[in-house]
Amino acid sequence: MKKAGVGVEKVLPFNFKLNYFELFDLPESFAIDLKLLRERMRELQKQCHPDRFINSTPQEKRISMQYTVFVNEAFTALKSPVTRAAYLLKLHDVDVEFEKNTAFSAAFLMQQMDWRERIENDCSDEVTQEIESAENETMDTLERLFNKPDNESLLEAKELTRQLKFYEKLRNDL
Amino acid sequence: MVGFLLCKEPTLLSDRDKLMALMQISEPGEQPIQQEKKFAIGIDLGTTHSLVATIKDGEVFVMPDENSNLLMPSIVHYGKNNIVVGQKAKEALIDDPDNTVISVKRLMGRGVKEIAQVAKQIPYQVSSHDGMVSIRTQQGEVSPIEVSAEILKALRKQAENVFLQTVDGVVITVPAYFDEAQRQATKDAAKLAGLNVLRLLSEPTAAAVAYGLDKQEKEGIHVVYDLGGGTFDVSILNFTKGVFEVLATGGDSALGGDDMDYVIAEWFLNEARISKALSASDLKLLIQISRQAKETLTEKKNTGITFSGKAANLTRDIFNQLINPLIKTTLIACKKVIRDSGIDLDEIVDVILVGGATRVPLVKEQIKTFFKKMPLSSIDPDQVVAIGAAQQADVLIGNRPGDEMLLLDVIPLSLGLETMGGIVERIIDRNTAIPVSKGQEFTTYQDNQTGMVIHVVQGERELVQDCRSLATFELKGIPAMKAGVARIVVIFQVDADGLLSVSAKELTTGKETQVVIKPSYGLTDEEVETMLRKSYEHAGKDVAARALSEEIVAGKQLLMQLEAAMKEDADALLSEAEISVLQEAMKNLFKTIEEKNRDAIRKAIKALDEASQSYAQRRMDTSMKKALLGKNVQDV
Repeated sequence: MKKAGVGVEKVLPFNFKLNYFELFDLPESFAIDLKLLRERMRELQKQCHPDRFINSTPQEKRISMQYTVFVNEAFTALKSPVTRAAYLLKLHDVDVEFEKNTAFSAAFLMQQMDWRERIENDCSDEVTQEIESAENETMDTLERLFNKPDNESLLEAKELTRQLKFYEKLRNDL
Repeated sequence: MVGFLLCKEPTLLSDRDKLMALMQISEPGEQPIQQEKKFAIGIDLGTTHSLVATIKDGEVFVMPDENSNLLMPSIVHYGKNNIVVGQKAKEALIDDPDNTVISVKRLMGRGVKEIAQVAKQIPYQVSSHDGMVSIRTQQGEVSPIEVSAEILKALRKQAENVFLQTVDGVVITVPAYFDEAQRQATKDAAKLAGLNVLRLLSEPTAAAVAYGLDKQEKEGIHVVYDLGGGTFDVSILNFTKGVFEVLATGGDSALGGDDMDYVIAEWFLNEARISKALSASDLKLLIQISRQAKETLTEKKNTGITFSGKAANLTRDIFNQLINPLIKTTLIACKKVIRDSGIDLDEIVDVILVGGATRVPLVKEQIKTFFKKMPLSSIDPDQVVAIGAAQQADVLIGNRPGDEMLLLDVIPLSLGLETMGGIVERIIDRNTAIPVSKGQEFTTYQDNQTGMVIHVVQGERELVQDCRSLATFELKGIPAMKAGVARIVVIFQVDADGLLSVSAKELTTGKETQVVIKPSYGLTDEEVETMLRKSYEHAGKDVAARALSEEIVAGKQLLMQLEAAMKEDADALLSEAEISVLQEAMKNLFKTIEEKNRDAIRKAIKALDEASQSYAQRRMDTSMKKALLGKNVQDV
């Protein structure tokens, strides 16, 4: 049996009680090494994926399915900035409440309207760049906030995460 | 995970002797018994052609029919008293087109209204009952699933004739863009054909495997452009260290080379000024002629078409004009999938071509322009999917212990639920890695409400009417409570084949609710059972005997798997008391098998299953730990 990559050695015997960062042996922070995340996900899948258990007992197949679902769920959550931030908030017992229609700041809403107007007037390329730079700024701030997650920072992080989701949706609609 | 050790079957020992011999745990230091290779095949079940391939001694074999043809036409002819598949059925197309079914893949998992939108011309006589399509033949109405099952049976026979061995397992490919209903229909067809499906594999992924395992292929991001007879797929995969990971997939499950034939046919009717509507049989004929013209134009600059006493000359230029919109449609899908995957165009290492239609010169040109790369077709585009499927079948059946190849796929279309006002509430996004599981909580709106209906749809649109209805799930047996008090969690699970299963539980009482599935365009479990029974009776087989033999096979399989497992690590993982409990349950199952009592066997299988639950958990934990830390079981 091949020896797995260095970081994965530290992972405990696989269990559902691990949080997503522990599962992939990555530090609990907003900044993430996506390449490493992917590598660790692949290493785990090589061990638990249902394809490895085609000839196994029905019990083992069920467990393999559950493990793999968990790995996929964790990977999907950590892979994207919005879901990663939402998950970090959850680890600190803060619900990001995406579904609730809590008001955004007036400044934020004005920016959205301005962008949408300009998109209709064929300025998509320019607007895309502006959205991307707003996203990058937001993500930098989130990184800072999650590194010192006191109550105030977490509330601000919640607001910024909801804004980040807005930006993402806008970019996808373009 | 180390492969299981299976005993080579000595022909002279009785069943009991064999199993009793296995029951003894081997002494440390004893040589493990050589694993006998199983016969696993890969099947490309195509719209126009199907193929079957296998791996023997590390080499790929695409298995031919009795006339040495590798491609079997996906055509089934229903004669007065017989059913003919393949080349012979293609010949019957001329004499008896009404009873000859072509391109049945286009009908799998579809309703009649959808067929009308999907294929401009439908050269069948279709009828519907409860929304699902069936085809009228002189042998009565047949479902597309039964027709596909005939093709699968023929392919299996072809394989078994070549190697004189029974097929142990099969990987069947489906378009990546096939939705749940289409996939389920394919699996049902395999069940009817009596095949043990190891995995439903996406066609682009299969092609990537064929190239990837070719050792010539570089690691990194690959695009697979798969234009088959009736479906178009485009997938973006990352290939590294034996793992093929689909990043995103897109396409059109109602667009393919067939459509090129249709536009030629339409052009001809126009040129020849034939305004009268054609009969289904004449249409089929004209389509075949058009297909030949298309193929000729790959090499030649023009070709003549003759039909119904009229003639016209089709040049490559005109042909290119006719098919240009079709190709543009595929490129739009390519743009979308690149966006979904998040990669940049210049990250792409190679573009792989799949499907006979990619031989058309204009298709190659436009792909080259779009991706700024010369696309690859070094592996025959007609065979590459079957080859990849055979590779995966070989790994999955266990013929390559220690092989690290792994295929990670995604769900191609979003799954959602119908909510108030006909709006779709999305539960699982497209391009999510599978297997995946999502829970959704519901509550009751009436006092003492004990049932609930959930409508699941697939697609990207906001309204239910614009998405594909998959099935309604009826929940029964919700404990009676005041309105709004019950908390029902419904779990939607999509497995590695892309198939959906639903389970439900009421949280305050912990009670599992019963889920009754009503597929919108598919067969219920009962209907599949009925079809199976019909086919056994037709073949003169005794239904009860078949059911019993299935239980016996399941029981023997479980015993052998457990035997092999316990041989490996029972001493390390179980106490003596636990071992003897397991052995007791195993002896009991063995006894019921000997007594050939179907119900008793089933009960004994269930009991053994439950008894081995914690052993299974320990094995999984240990093997994960072992693999991750690179140590032996003994050292743990």
